[in-house]
Amino acid sequence: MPTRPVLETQSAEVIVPATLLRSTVQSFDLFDTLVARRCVGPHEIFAEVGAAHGKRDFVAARIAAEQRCFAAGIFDLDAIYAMLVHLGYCTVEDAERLRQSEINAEFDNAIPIVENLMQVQDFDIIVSDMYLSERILRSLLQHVGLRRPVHLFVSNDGKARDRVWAELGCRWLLTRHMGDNPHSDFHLPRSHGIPVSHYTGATINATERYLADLGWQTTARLVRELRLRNPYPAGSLENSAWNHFTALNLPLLILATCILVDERRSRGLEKILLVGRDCHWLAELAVHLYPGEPIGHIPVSRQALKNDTPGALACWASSHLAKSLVADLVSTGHSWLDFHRRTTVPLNLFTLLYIDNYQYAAFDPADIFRTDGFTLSFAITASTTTPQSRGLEVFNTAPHGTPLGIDVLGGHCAPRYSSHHELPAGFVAALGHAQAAIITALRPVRNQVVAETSVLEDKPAILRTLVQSICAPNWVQQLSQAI
Amino acid sequence: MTTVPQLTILANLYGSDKGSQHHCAHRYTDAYEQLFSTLHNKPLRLLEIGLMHGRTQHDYAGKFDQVGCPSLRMWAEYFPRAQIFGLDIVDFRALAEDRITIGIANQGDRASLEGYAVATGGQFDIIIDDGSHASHHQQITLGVLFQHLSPGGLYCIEDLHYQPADMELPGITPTRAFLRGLTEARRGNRLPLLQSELGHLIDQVEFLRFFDSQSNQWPKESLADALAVLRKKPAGVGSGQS
Repeated sequence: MPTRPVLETQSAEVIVPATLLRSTVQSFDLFDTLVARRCVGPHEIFAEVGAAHGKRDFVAARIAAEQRCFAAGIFDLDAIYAMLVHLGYCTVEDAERLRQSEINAEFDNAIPIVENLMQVQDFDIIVSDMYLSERILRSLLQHVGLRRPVHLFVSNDGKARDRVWAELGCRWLLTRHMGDNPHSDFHLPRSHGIPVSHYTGATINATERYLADLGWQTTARLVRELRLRNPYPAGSLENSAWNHFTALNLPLLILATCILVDERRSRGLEKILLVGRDCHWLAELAVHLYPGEPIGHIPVSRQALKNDTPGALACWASSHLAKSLVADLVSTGHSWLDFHRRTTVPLNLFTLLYIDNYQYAAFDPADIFRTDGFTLSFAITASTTTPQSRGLEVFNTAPHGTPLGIDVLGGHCAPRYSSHHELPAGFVAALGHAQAAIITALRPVRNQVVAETSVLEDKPAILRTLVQSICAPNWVQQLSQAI
Repeated sequence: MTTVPQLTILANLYGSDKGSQHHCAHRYTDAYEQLFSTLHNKPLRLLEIGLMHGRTQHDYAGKFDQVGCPSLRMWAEYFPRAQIFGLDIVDFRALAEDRITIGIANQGDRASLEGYAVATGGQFDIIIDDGSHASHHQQITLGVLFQHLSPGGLYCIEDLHYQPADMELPGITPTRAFLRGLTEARRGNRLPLLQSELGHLIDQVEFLRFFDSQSNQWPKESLADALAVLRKKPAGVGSGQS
């Protein structure tokens, strides 16, 4: 048998002690990975603190004190405020008040990044090289909803300076580190053999930048906050529905509400009466945005409008239709024109999107605009946006089925609904969940949102862009597959 | 009449327990036939760790040349153009044959394994661990040698249902459990790996498949996922880090 060169790599028996076993864990950066700031950057926290204490120069002083501490290798909040005192900026007592204000501002501005918080498991590691203490950071994590026991490493810039990875490696095997900083959360841990996940979701995205550039800064931040609060798994229909709804439908309805309020006031009408099933969410939002504005909602459909029961007629009589701005999101106007011809009730109809390019055989479309006692006005037309309004209707669906009719019960108009809802239950539930989150997030910034919206230039053009985006064909296709 | 795959025939011919007749008769050859059927005539580099069943070593002590290394012979015949490498802690070097090279190394010794891989030129296309079956040995060997697996290569670990009680480290996560959670980077395992080794595995495993043993000498419920096969990402595919 021919011999071949053999290889000899013999060694003595090697014992691997059990103490060399290390547990696998994940690690996460804290700010802009698990927790975001509503105001985006820390300097805006300083601005809030300065404004609250009447100190216009606080931002510059605070930054200078931090830089002095950093240069000295000290990086914690107590030292920074001690430096402010040392630099003669304020007294010890003032420094304590300012310090507490800064901490309070951090808590007030904290937004949970839910998709990442949901990935944290018991005894995972959270790494922060911020100036806030471990105690404060633990409270902050609890404040945004993290209730799991976790290891928190506050390393005073140890992450950026590479020390922390060697320290962690002595005790654990990291299966992944997630963070937002390209250097300290990506390149450095990767150089230590740690698989990394670079998270950039906390930065403002293109849609939010578009809104902010329009002058809608508060609304843009609101949209960002809602995106970060999305509780549904990435890639799911519900996750996409939440994001699409909050990023596009919310600004669209905020703008629609402003347009409706302006229209009612300019025409001297008594109230806004929202009448479509797809005005369900608009009605709730409008009441929260303009709490003093007279706004009502009676969900009807083409079918319900044709139903001239005594109850329905009584309902219309009690609704003061003639004195109202009867408003819908999407309409051809024909059902209401037919209603007017049957009942002779004068109507001031306003639709956000007027379907001007759908041909009904029974009517001459021009009749819409030449019938006495019937006025149709609109914000934009379908021929300038999209030939279909399906996306707008889908994202403004109500949690109930189509209205079949309407009666008066106990002195109130009470629609009767179909027991069937044509959209997937999970999708509808996600929209409802998003709506509740919007109301909560909107509350503290309502005034700013209303003020910013009222001064937007060329509202119809903005509306047109939002409608085109929300009615994008891929969404309709995706939903059609899900239904 | 059932058609018996070629690899099973070879395993039975040479007395390997990977077939359907000898020792535990796991029929891993069914899985290997699926995995290797397109690789027959490739000039591969195949490494197997663990060269002779313990019972055979006992029965043929001092007479190993009468049986040879069953698996290595099987592979040499199945892959007519391959270079076959064998590695064991026991000295089987005298059993080297044409296209079969045999070395000695300790599965618990990183330097030993690394040295062997470097000395042989590494770049193995297929690695099969049928060694001691102790979890720390399997994991250390995987940690070291996966880095010497060619892109697109296959790393197979056999007999994951069994760990020798006298060798198993207390508190260690058994290899089968570790691998079952590998693709989701499961936390809470206790492993002897280095960070760089674990990171390399998480980044470079393209897929992980399990196969059951068909042995009738073990409780059926214990034989699930007895064979693990990890495929390394092909060249040019990213690290998977997001």
